[in-house]
Amino acid sequence: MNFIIYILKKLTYLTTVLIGIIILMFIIVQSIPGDPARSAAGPAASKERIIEIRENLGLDLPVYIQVYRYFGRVINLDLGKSIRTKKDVWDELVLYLPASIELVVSAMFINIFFGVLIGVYSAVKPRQIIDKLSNLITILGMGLPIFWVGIISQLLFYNIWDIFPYGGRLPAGVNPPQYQTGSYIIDSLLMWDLALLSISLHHLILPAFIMSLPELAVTARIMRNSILNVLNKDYIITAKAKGLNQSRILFVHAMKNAMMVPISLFGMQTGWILGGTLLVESVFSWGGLGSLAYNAIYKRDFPIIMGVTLVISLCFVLTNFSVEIIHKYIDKRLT
Amino acid sequence: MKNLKIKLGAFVISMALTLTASANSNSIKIAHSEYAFSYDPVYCNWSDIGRICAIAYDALLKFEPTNKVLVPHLAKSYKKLDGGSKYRFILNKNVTFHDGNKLKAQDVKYSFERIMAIKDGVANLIQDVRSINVIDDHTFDILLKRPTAAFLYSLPQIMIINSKTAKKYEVDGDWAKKYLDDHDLGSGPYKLSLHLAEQRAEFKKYDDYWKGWRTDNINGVTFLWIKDSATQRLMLEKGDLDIMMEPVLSELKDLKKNSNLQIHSTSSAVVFTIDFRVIRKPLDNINIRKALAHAIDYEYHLNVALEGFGKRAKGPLSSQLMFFNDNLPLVDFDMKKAKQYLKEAGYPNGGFTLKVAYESGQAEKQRALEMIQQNWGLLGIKVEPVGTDWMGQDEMQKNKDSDIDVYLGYIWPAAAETDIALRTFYHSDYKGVFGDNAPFWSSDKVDQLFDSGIIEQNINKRSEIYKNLQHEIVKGFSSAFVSETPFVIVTNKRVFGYEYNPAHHQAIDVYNMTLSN
Amino acid sequence: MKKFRILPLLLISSVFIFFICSLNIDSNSVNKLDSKNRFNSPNLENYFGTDAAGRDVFNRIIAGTKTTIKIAFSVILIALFFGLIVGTISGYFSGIIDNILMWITDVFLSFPSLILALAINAAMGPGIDSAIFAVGIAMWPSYAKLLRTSIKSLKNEEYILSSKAMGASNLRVIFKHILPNSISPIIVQCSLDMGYAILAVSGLSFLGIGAQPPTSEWGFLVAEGQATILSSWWWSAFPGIAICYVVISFNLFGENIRDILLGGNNV
Repeated sequence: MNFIIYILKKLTYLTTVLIGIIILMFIIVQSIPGDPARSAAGPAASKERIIEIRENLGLDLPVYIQVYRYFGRVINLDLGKSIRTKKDVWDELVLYLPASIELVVSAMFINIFFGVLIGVYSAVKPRQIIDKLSNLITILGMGLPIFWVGIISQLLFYNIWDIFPYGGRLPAGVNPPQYQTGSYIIDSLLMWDLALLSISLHHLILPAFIMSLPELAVTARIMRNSILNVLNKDYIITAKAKGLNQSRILFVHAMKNAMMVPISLFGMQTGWILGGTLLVESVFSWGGLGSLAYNAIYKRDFPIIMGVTLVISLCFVLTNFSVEIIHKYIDKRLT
Repeated sequence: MKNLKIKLGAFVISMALTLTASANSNSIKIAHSEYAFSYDPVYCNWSDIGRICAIAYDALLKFEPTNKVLVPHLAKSYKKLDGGSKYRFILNKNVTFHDGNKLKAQDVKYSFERIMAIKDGVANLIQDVRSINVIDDHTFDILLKRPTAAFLYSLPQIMIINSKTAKKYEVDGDWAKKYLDDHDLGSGPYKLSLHLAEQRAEFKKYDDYWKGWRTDNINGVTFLWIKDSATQRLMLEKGDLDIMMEPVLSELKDLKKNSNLQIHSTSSAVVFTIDFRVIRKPLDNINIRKALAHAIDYEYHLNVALEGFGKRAKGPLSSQLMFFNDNLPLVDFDMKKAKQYLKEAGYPNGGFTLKVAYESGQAEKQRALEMIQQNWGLLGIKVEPVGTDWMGQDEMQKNKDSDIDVYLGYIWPAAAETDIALRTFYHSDYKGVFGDNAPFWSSDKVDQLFDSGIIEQNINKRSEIYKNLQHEIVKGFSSAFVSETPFVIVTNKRVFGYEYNPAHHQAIDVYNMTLSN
Repeated sequence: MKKFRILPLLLISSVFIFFICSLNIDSNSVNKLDSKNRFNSPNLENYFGTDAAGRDVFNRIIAGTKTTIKIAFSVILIALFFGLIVGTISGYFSGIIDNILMWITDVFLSFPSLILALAINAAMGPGIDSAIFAVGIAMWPSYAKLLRTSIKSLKNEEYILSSKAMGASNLRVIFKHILPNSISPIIVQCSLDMGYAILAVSGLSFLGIGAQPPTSEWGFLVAEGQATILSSWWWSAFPGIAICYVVISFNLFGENIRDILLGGNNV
């Protein structure tokens, strides 16, 4: 029961944070140079038309009314029209969202799976070759600029070694699976088209790995330190002194405790990975929100940039929320 | 480690699939770096959409590149009437659209009226059209507001769409604009078969194309959107791509060594200019503009930015177009002269800042920017660059109040005809929103020459007028004319029959090309 | 008391030395266009080769060092400015003010920092200054939270309470007692964030909205060389290595500082 109350409290807070996000976006939108009425009207519009649009958009009204109207529009999923393509921003976002989610989820998966693996292995055999090697790799991972790594890995893996494609979600000439979720992996699974699935995976591996790299480094390090800390605690040492069986059980117990630290980090890491979509998608021509935003930047398509910001932040907030709930739940189970 | 096994399996299977995929294609793959966000032929003058329209649509007339003349296409024949204020066309009777509807004169009327209503894209090309009169299913008249001599040259850019089907898909009176964003309503040799937003567009042969098919025609076209030119190059070298549209010129010396590739380069109809917005201070002073023009290292640009391709331009018109004036005065690179003009203007040590807008992704413009930053810097003038894409630049230049001082731009002819090429750039009607007059410059003499040239039917008199026009434009120093941009593409050796067409700059005429295997 | 380790100290000193060198470089000569020496591959005269305009890549990278360091410090300063103000007020005064300020902090934290920086930078227009401001704005929340936690835990310490009992004003207590004792985690966070600030701003420059020509900002250099990477890999490769080098130096140094000041949990 307490747990449900906890969830409700968090949800309420979440809602207030979302309201705050929309207000912040409104403030940012206000500082965009240029006349929004003019951009909305298009280059061929007459003076009368621009005035008409200005009235429609309520640009002459006091600020608090404008915020209110902005709110109303956002809630109704009216995020304006792309300056470049004149299509609804929301439609474009929905089109490109699944690709990004696919990439981010894969990157987090690689992050968690390999991060924990490397972290545990290094902790279990500290100061040996694997530990030192992974230490080196994690130091590098935290310092590498991912856009640069992306370019260099394209050079190596596509040009020189020819193991991975240059990018894109599918090669030219291969049609995507029937649209159900937008994720090629899931959709091809649903159609049980294993060939398509394998091709999609082949295209997914490199960008997802590159995107996970900085966080992989952090996860591995934190996991390692976390486990070593727990292992050093008195009760573990005492348990070890008492015999093998008990130590194994306590090792598993130690792991569970140690995992709490990285789990609380996973939420924030999703955020950093979401930020990375911008850079990785542009390098690998991925066709997700990052690509969309990259083009929008170049073309000064502000409605799109703001739309992408809103959607990505929304994903981030929801992920954080879920991670916090899961964290609390596991915490309760352990204590 | 199930994950690893799946990934290994994926790798093996996909290698197998890609090998089979590339082996059997009588289909040509073309890469470009600027995605076409719509397939609407009203935007046919935007090169990335124009490229696609050129294969899915037909126009009344076609511009034949080898002999540089207009030839009948959808129109079987035409007649000039009323001293050039009316043209009568007779359509071919066997033309069908991709969904089977037959081409009728009503389609032409709809196509023209549509463009006039949308007022965007190619609208400037038909602004002299008053109305279309349908006489019968295959005959119609185009009535002009005045006897525009160059009118016929606009027609290759006006694509005729399937009006019956278009009307079915109209939404809120939008003339099917939304539908045409991702569908095609054309009669051309290829029809749209797959549209993957931001990734690629695939076209398949339209079997009932009215001009018929040969045995060695290409069966399909895939346009790939690949932003990164290094990636395009890699794919071309591996054979995953047949044509690379915008190679980085400095990579060409490497590509030349590859015997599987062929480089096609011509001087094009496009001129690279550095435009001075004369409505900004201190650029309103012609001496400042003269100073800036003399501080441009033209040789450097030709050798470094253009890697030796292309030629020096002395005026706004390219030598590829008719009435080219070869006797224009040359503005040379002379820093002493530049300093002299600055002194005369009252700014002996410079001391002001110029905001320069340019397309940041473009190597030619990037090198030009660096060069003017250095040279104008030596005059004491600070250059503040504003990088954007061509659409962003377009928006800025149409806005009278934008604070940009200088544009690195292209004079991009909308059709292969001199008046059409220059009018929207230099006539006073086209300052700001409706045209391309980036400098916001005009002169009464220039306007007068335009207005008399447009209706002059005698070709010798026209030649005089337009040669004079170029001279007057150059005298105004509204821009520095730098180079005639080369048009270069790199193709796989198996591609035959490509020819540059100045009326469809950057289009690939796939129908007249073949692939050898 | 843990001490400074050799490697991080060496790395950070080398960065400092490059910084000093770059202050003395004449940017005009670094950017001088040289049409005869274009695209030279790395050799004894041009250690890292030359680019499309004939400029020496090594010189450009060194010249860019001062830009990079300035960027890192500016971003941290902006983040500290807002973070300290909000954190101090929020930490010292509980109740409504604390709740509102924390709400604002959480709102900012809900944006992945690169995305927020992107939106702010796009709205303000391209340029290195707006990029610095944007990344700084995206980073202040963590400092606010750190300080608030510190203050809240110190607020009820003996010496604070007795100080207030003796009549010291709030402001005096803040400046004399609380801030000095909260500094350690802040310093640690700063050193660790330097690297991230550099990565974020060079990412924005790579996208084209950060540094503008003729700057030698490293992210911008990577983007410049991208189109010709197949024939002239050195133009993109070396600036990326430079970014990596400096970021790793700051990261290792920051971890070292953390071990010293906070008795770290690095085993």
